Amino acid sequence: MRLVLFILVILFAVSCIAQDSLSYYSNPVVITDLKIQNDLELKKETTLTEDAVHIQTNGPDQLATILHRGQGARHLAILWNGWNLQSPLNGTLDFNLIPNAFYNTELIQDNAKVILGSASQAGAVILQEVKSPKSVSVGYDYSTLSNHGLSGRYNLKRSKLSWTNKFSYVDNQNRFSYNSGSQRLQREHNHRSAIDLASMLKWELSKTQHLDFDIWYQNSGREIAPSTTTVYDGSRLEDDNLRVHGQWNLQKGAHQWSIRAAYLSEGIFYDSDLIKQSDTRSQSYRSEFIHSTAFKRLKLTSGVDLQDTRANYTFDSFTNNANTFDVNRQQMALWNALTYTLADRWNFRTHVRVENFSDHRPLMYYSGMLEYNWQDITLTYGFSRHYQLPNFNDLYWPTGGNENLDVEQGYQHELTGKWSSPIGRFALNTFSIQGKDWIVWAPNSFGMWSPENRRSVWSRGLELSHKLRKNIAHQFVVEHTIEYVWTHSTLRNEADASLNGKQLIYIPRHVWSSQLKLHYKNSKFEINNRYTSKRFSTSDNSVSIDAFMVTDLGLYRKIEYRDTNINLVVLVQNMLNAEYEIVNFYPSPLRNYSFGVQIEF
Amino acid sequence: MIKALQHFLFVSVILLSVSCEDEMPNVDPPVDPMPMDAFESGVFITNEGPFGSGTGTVDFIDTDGVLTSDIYGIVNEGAAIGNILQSMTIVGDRAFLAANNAAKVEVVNASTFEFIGTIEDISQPRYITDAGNDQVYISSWGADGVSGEIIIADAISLDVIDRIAVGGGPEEMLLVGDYMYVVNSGGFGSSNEVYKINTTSQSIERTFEFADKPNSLASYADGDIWILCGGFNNFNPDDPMTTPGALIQIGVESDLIEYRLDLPYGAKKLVTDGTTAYYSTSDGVISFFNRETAQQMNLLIPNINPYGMDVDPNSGDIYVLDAKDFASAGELTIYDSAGMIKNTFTTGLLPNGAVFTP
Repeated sequence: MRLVLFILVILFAVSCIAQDSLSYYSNPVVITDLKIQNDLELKKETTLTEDAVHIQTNGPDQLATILHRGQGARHLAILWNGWNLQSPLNGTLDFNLIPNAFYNTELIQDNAKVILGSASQAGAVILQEVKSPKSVSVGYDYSTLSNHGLSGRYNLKRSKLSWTNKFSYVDNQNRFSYNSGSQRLQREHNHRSAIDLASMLKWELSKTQHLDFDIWYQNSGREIAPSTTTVYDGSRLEDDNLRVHGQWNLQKGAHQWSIRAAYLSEGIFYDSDLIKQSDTRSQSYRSEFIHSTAFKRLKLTSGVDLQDTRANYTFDSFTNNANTFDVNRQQMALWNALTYTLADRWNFRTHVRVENFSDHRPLMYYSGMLEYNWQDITLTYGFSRHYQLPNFNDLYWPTGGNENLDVEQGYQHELTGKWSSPIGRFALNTFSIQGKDWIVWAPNSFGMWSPENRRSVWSRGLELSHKLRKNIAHQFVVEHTIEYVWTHSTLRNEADASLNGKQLIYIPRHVWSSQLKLHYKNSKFEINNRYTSKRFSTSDNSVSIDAFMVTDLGLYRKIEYRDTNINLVVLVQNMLNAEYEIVNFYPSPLRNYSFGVQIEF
Repeated sequence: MIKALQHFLFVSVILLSVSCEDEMPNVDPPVDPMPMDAFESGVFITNEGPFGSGTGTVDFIDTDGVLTSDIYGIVNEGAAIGNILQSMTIVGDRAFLAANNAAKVEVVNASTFEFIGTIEDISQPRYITDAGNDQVYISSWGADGVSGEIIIADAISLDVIDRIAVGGGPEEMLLVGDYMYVVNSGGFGSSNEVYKINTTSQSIERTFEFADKPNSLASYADGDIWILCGGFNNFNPDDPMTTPGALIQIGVESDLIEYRLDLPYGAKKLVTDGTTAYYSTSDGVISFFNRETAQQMNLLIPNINPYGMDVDPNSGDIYVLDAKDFASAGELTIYDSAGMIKNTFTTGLLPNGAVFTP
């Protein structure tokens, strides 16, 4: 019966797509909860490496962004302690700047994302702290790409106080060879070095109150690798970021209060042979008050979110005088999340966010979701209304910025079926996102590149996953995950009608990933496969980049000696030596190896 | 355990087969080798290609009107010319391809397009002109866009012979007698200079100052030089054009301005077939004039804004190149001298010029 019902859900979902109907998916992670639980006690089901998402990058340690559900990188929020880290200037966060030693990542989709406001149309990626029960740990890793990494952690625990300090240093040459026709060439100008320092304080003031403080400083410098068809022009990029977060929580009876504040500072400095210097800085002060209460069938959470963001930009070339802008935006938002249990099997959730800006018309985001639970099957339907604010570069770029830009708009529908069966957990999600007024840079009548609200996009797709964890024998566990994502993201209402129906550039139609883990006592064997179908690099789909599949293999071993753990890891990346490019003329490394050791005590 | 593995493999195979429905490895059909001298007669279309992550390409339209895409890649086993193919010039039996963002000039056999060699270490090469005596002049913006040069190279050995420092942004060149005239746009900034270089002494003999950002030049059979200046645009939406462009005629013997027409909204790409000249204006029209009736500009093809334009010296047909949305294949439209469409072709990305076989 359950199987029949699950198959019916699948058939219904497929028929929805076939009939151009609308659908969606949600995940048990609730952003509303995230906002009031600073310790991120979210059940971590997957990491981003296991998700079938497409990461767009020019190569190792180059700018990396996530393209998910046929949306752009700016449509996916990156949350640190619930704050979106995307740059107010260019609307993205470089994913390669997130230190592996500090954070795991999890991709979530939930209609609650509307309470995050702009930049969450495709969902959100949550940065989750890498935790360890040991007091001290020191790790070193080496890669055959001539990469070195050093990391450390110190935990101090008292009865009501927990204080963790971390550091991470990487010096990555990213040297690798690649094939170009019959030639074997060496990839150069890929160097990055970075240092990250973080300190986290958790203080339990009483049984009902706790205080959190989190600070993360980062400095990263790197060469900007040219394509194989371009000569290196001396481009270098330095990122200098400081993030501070504080939060006080109080719980009394059915009520929870939370007062949060953050200071997010970003500096991006670029120089090359052509440009003397480009200096971009932004500072954002944010604060939020949240109240949550629960009645018998009703859970209500409301928040007030205040932001003050200042950004300035200076560009100085050898031929132009310095171009600058210095802008400021104040923002106030009210949001509310409501969950109502209609009956034992039915849940109803709504989310609303109203925003007021100093430089833009007010916006209202909203979503609704209906969930039906029957035994171990959950069916969910949801819809939401989103907006995407133009970033500061779009609005104020000295040569071409357009202050008359409006917001991008999006409507989503989603349908989800989940089945927790004896043979694993199955999930099928279908989604449809209709976007209009997307901002596109193109030459205007003066031949000057300038952004306009001119693009309409319809993204629809299907996400299918199966996860299984099974104890085969004593201390022997088999775990596997398979995900498949089909994304059809196409242009609509183009002035050149021949472009309508064409797939968006760089959005793969098919991505699948599979992961098999074998745990035996203190050892683990892991093999990952990821297939990415061809991507088009032109809007008329006349040029494409070949599909590729990458297989990685990992061996892990923990050696316990008294109170000390020694963790060893050997990774074989791109084990099958696939030659592939994520972006045209930016080769990726062939087979390479990493070795790591970590001592904990 | 075995069952779990079987299950894993089964699902993986199913997913792979589903995901590969239209992604099977491309097996290229057998390609007939290009015949010798395949490109001896026809027209080459140069395509810049996408900025940064792509390569320029060359299409060829033969005398039967058949277009072959990316002939450089086909002939040279998939090789790439380099990022941003700025221009192509035929000198004798060789074709010189200026790959702007790749800092090099690729040299191929003009009839077969087989790779011959590379002139390297040329920062931002723009245009190439035959200077006679087996020499070519290459305009180069320099790595910083300021230290522009005219690079003199041996067209046979491909060695750099000499470098003449000029201001930032040298563009097209024109050989008239023993003199090479060079328009200097100022690159990313602005300049109003035109240089007259003595090809014997290989030095600048005179510097003219006309309107801002001269971008192209041409001469008629009877010798006078016409220079088109685009005018300087400061890209300020409130004040988009700060200085006007101009069309200027100078006498070769006198070096004096014989005619000047101000163009308040700018202009680009002056081309001629020897009797009639054409240029495009920023308001999206193409005008034409001839020397005898220079005062009577004619709006020949209204409402277009070409990305590139050239004129067939034999037929007088006008080749108008459209880069469309700058992210998809471009389009070539061929007009006759009366402004009527004769043919259209789909080109590579960002087509910017047509080069006619001798």
